[in-house]
Amino acid sequence: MTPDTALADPPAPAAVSPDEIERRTAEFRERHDRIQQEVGRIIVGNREVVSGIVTCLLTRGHVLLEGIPGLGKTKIVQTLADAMHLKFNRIQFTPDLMPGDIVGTNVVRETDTGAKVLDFQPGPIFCNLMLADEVNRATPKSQSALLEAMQEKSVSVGNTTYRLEEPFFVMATQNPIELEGTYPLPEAQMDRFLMKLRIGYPNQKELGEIVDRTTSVEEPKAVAVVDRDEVLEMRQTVLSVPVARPVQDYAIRLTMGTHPGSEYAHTLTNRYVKFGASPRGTQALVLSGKVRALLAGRAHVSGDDIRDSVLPTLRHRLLLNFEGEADKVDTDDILREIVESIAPPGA
Amino acid sequence: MSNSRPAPFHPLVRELDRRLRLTRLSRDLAWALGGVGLALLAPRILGEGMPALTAAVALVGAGALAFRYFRRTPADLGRAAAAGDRSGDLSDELGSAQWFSENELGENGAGWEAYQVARARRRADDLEAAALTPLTAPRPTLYAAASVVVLLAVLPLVEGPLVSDALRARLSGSFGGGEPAEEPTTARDETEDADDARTEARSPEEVLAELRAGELPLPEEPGDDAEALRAALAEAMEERAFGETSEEVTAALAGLAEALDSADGLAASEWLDDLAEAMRAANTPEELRELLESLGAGAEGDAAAAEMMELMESGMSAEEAFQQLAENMQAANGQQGAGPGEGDAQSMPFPGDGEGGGQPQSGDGGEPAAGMPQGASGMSGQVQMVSAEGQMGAPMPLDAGPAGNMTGPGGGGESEVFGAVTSLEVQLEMEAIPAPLDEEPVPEQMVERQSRREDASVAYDSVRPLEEYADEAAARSNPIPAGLRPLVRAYFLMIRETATGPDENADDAPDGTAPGAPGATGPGPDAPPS
Repeated sequence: MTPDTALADPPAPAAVSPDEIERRTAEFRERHDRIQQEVGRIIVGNREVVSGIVTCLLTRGHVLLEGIPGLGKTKIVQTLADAMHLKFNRIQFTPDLMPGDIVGTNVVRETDTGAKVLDFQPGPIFCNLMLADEVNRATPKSQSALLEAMQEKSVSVGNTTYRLEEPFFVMATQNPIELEGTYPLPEAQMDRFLMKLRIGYPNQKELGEIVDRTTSVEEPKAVAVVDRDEVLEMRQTVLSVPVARPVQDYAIRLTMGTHPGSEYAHTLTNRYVKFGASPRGTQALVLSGKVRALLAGRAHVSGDDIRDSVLPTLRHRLLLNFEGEADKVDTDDILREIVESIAPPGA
Repeated sequence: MSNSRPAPFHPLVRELDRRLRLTRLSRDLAWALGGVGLALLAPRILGEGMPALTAAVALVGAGALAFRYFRRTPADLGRAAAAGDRSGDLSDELGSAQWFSENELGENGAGWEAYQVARARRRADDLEAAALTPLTAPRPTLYAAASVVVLLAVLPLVEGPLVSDALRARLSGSFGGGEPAEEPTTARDETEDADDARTEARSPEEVLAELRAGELPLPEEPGDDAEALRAALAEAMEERAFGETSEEVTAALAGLAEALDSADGLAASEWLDDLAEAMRAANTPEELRELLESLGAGAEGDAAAAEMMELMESGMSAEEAFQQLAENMQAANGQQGAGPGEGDAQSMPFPGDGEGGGQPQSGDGGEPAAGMPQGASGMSGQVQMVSAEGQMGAPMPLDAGPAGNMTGPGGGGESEVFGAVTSLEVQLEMEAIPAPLDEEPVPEQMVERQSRREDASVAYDSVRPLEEYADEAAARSNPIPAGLRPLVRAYFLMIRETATGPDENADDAPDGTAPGAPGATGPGPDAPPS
């Protein structure tokens, strides 16, 4: 891989006809349903989690999955990668993982003439879908190598910067327990994830279905239902969805509701929150709202789309203060109170 | 965003805006009508016409309502569209389309904004404004407004004020910013106080003139006897034309009337003295007789008048008769309670604090009354001590009455003066323990004693040096386990030097008691050497 392989930014959206818009929105929903259906063949339940992962993929974001071991975090990501016919790599993060193990390194190679040259061997990060399993077990140095690639969509090795191929999508998992010997992600790096999704226990019916599917002779395998170009087109469709100013103001008010001392700060915010959501949080709210609007068959973002996106997009952007940590306050509870206290658009 | 008022992207939005205005107007109108109605009702209840200020406020309020209804802002249509979205559960479709339309984002007919506006128009075609925003008004406000309207229609049919004059005056005073009454009083009390103030502010001649004209009726309540008597005396004085001494006689007669009314014989005697002095001027016995007759009302007045007439018929002048009457009354008082011997007949008030500090004072000589104990306990209040000249107060009998209820030195509290019972308030009465029913009460059973003095004691332990406590604790503790004690004892007995002489047997005490221990026959280690 050479720097020449870097991809250019997608073109700006052009004015399209209503028929074209209807076609795009219809295709968007149809492709999304295909992905959901294919993943649903393998993964039991967790439709919201799958939808959230797809949303992050389609909004050029990254997702952080959190859940106790054995709930299928890795399985979901693997299945999603299979269903989208994208290049998939997995990195198991360990304390001795080095940055070079992620981004690649220069190796000495002897040419036909006997000369020795440095040749770049790309690391596993050069892919479309990357699973960073148990990302909090690697050292901050290795985490930074990954997180730089997440933000910049490029890696720097020596004096050369390599652009990553679009779509580049990182799905990181972390275990909320067994924290001994781990390196929790700094808040600045947590902010790079568009969403933080929590995977919970399956219910009784889902658990029975899991047993049926995984303990028989033939275990189902996902097939690719969406290719790379279709994913890129879906990304473009998401960006085209307009947002009216009142709805955008609603997202802004919600974000400011997480800022201690701000005009819209809730009582719980002032009491328990040390730092609120950054502008990335507002961006995540609006982008996630666009995906929800398209999935609902609308060509505009509503306040409900924004409100439904608050928890996954903002829960990991709130840094609690000492009192909040001591009281074991859940950021979801604070966000729910903020949503209840902020007036919807036009009210 | 343009500053001019935007156009709605669909007529539905304008209709929604109109209905929202109507709903808001109906709500505001109900409140305003209630307020204006009350403002109009208040002067009507008070029986007054509608003040100009009320009418002005009503007009200004109506103007404000009209302005609020017709005023347009750029955000009105967006607000109306958002209200339609909420009521129709349209997911901000109308609001977003209105905003896109206002900002001309979909004017060229292409793009996502135009697509969304077109979708919203199609959706709005199927909607009805009446279903999205029905015209409603809060029922309580409607009922209140209707009630006020009915009252306004009915009240002109009722003539006169709806409240009493007194309440109206009070309300007017309150509305006028006057000081509120410090304590609740009735209008009747205030009227009576005002009448009293008018009476006191005028001269007796004016009062008499009003009396003659019948403009000032005498009170008829039994409690106002003194006032009636005073009025009668004043009228009699006027008719008899006492001349230059009229004021002094008037004052003396008024005081006398008050004293008689309150059955205060001592005070009456004083006023009689004053009256005698005032009557030194030329007065005929007939005039005085008529005066006394007009004065005589009640038992006290009758008795005094009768005695006075007897004295005057015996040949004494009026002055001498008054003087003699005064002396008789004072003598009667002196018999009721022993008075200090010297000095003229006069009143000597002294403060009694109830702690025995009230030293009795005599008129001139300063000798204490014979029957008055020094520092008499139980004396309280203000005690008037009157002594007649040359009459030494007699010792106060033991059963003269409870202390602290004395009208004179050593005087009984309930002694009769002019046949009446004193009405001094009984205070600090001695506690009397009633005798058993089957026995006659004896004076010894009257408990009269000072508060007892007792000694209180609190148990305490004497504090000793800490070493002593440590020694005691060490002596009480026995670190040697019970099972090992015989062995330890045997060891120490074994290693102990064998003593010679009489102590030898002590070590071999049969009960094993150590030397020096209680019960040991021999001397202990602390015993002096033999």
